[in-house]
Amino acid sequence: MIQAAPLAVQGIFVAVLLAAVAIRRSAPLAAAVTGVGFVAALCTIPAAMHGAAIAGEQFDLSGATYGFWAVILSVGFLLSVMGSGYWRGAKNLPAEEFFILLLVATLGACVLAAAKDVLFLFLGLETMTLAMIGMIAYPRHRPEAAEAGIKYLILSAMSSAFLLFGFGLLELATGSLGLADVLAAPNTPMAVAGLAMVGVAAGFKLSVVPFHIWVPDVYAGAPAPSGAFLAVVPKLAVLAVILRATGLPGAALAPGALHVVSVVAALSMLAGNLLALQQQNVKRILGFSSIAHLGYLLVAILAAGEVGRVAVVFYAVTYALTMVAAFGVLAVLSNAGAARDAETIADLRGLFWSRPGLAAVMTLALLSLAGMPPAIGFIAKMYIFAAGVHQELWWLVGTMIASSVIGLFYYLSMILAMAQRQAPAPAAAGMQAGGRLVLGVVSLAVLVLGVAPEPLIALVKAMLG
Amino acid sequence: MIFWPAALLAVVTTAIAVTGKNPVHALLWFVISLLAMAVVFFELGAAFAAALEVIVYAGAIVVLFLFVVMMLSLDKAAALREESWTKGPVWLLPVGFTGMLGVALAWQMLNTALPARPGRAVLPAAVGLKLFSTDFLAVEMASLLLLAGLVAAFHLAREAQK
Repeated sequence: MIQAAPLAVQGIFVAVLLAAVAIRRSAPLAAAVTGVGFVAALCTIPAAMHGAAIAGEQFDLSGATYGFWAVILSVGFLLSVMGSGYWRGAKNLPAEEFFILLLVATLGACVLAAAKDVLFLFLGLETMTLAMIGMIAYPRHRPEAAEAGIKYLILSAMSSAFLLFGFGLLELATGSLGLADVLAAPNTPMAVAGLAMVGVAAGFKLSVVPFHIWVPDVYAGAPAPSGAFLAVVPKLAVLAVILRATGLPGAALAPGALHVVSVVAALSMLAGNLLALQQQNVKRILGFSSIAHLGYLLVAILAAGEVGRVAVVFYAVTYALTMVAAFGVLAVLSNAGAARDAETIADLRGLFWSRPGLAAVMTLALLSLAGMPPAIGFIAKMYIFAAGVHQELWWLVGTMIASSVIGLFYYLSMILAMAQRQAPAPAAAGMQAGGRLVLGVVSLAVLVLGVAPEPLIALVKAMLG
Repeated sequence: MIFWPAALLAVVTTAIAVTGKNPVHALLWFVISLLAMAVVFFELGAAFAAALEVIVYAGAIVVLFLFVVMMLSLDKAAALREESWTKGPVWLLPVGFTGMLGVALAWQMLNTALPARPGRAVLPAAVGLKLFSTDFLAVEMASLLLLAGLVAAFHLAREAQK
């Protein structure tokens, strides 16, 4: 069955990579195999899409799923290239396992994004999470990384417990493990409790308020490439599930539940941006910024409808590109062997004078996160505005504008710090050709699609259609 | 009929395990909790899950935990401290709880005429057939899940190269 070929190809490459590492321990070789694996999986997507449509039991193989797979696999590829440069800095740390974990985590994310029943949803989620814990705690010489790994381990175990309990209750109410049946559960207290518990678990993975407590420490402790993965891939996969679930018949939430989601969205937008204001650590700022962005995405999900769905996917792609760019700059500036990454605003000071290329990429990424032209973030945010206005979600749109203005302060203050002339140049850690290549590709995409977004919008519409 | 006592016992012993300050005692309480959970599974018609709960969780995993805890403290003071833990009637309550479970299970087995709780009985053969026919993809996925855990644990636990 050609339709699930991208999954099969990733599985095969996990085995190939394991064999390669077993025969010869070499980080460049492992990175190359991983990169080839991602590209091979990406190449099978067009063929898989043209395969005869089948009604699979386990996976939903629709255009939207292939779209999310393509984005997830592309991010995986970019991070494998970025990682190969980054880990070269750590002389005493074998880097091969990072690529195994990256490949397995991406496979888990793809399974999660496509899962049509609870079994695969959970297996995909856990595979992704477990591999991600290894990626977060990867630099063992950094106590912060181990701490972040343990925090993420405990809190994600708790959210998994919520998810399982919720699905257990829903199975009891409906007698089925299929996502469509579970969502069409009758409106009994048991089913409502089950849905609420599943919602808590989803909220944790999306890191929206009030399930965001873990974000700053875990983002700050994770090495930059793992941070990028953590910020992007789980969110894409969970969004794919939510987008599919909201499109199912019987998925309409009760008005009360919609109010809860609206409040969560508004709180996420405000809290994310307000908490970021006081931070000096760029990774923490990006973490809080991701909370706010997921709040914006919730607005688009609440807007629903044709425009809302396109807005969700467009924003998710934008967010992925931009976060990879921002974490990529940190990765290129950092030395994996050091006690910490180059992650404070002080480390960025004077970057425009010492490494103008990196500073330009970071500026573009920050502008995109702030939603300013010419970066793609502007178009994406306008799309959500349009979707919100279309559905007359006035107070949510108002909150979005207010929190975007708050957000401007810290994005612009980072750009100002980079433009200051006084401080000495940050200690440049190697050249990291891989990381700079990734930055070139990503920043070009952010800029070009920001100026001419029509091809991407058309593609998203075709995928969703 | 024995569902409620077993469920109550599971909750109580887990609470004691979570709040306990002594790791070895907590683990032993946890064993009782797992045994009580096995009885709950058995009552619900999942005899296979009940057996796995006893063999895998209570039998293998917790014993592994116990070994680790005991290997962490090997000096004389620790030995004396551990000796002091087993003095007095501390064993009475856990043994009583386990005995209750045993009596309940024996009672259920002797009175086969008792109506089982409503639910679907799932036999081991059915589980095996499903896992290796329609759900084999899930088994493959679970193996990747274990691989992720294994690789991460291997990397994190490896001795630092100097």
